[in-house]
Amino acid sequence: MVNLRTLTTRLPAGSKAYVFGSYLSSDSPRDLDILIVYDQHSCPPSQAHEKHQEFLSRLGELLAIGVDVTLLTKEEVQSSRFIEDTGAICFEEVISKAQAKVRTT
Amino acid sequence: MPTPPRNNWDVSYSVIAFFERALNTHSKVERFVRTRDIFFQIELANGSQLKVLLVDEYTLGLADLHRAQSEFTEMEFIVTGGNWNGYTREAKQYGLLHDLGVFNIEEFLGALNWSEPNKYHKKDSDGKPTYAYH
Repeated sequence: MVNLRTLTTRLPAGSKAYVFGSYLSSDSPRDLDILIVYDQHSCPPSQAHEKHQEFLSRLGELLAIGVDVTLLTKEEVQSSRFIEDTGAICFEEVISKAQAKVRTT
Repeated sequence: MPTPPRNNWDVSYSVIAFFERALNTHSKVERFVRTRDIFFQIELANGSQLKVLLVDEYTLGLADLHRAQSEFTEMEFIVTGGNWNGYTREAKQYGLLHDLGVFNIEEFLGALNWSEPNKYHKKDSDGKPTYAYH
């Protein structure tokens, strides 16, 4: 059974997910902004949306929230400095922190 | 509760309405027709026709361009929402190589004043091209 901790196993090889935007700072975010950085050598840009759809759909179901995705190649994320500019945080780290918070409350 | 978008690109009506208002008041636009919620066929005063997809991506990337081309095969321009939105260098380069205009709204409205809109770019104070790169 897929849960938030194992969800990243549904990402294509070479892809990594990050969280940015209001989800990181708000107690009641309206949606979840996800950045997925993918390797265009193993996942061509023409297939990127399709190949990450299962991950995104399951994520939306598990969190019961709208997911807004930004899909960028490794080269695009470097040239745009997207992670630095948005303060995006690794998805696994965000989930770990959220679950630790739940355990302490 | 906000009304969900009527398109699968999550473009809200406020973004669509903003774009429509801008087109309605642009001196070079003769008329336009909107279909599939976010696809615009624009006729300019000089008679030329532009086929434009409006999206609302903070950073438009290569994956978005490919998805858009597969869903809107006749697309000639892709314009991303507000002026705070932009695109990657790689997306712009792809557009230049494939005759696909990649702009944010502010740039696109400027491009309508050019004889070849898909080659439009803003210039800095030194006359060098500037782009809405993220």
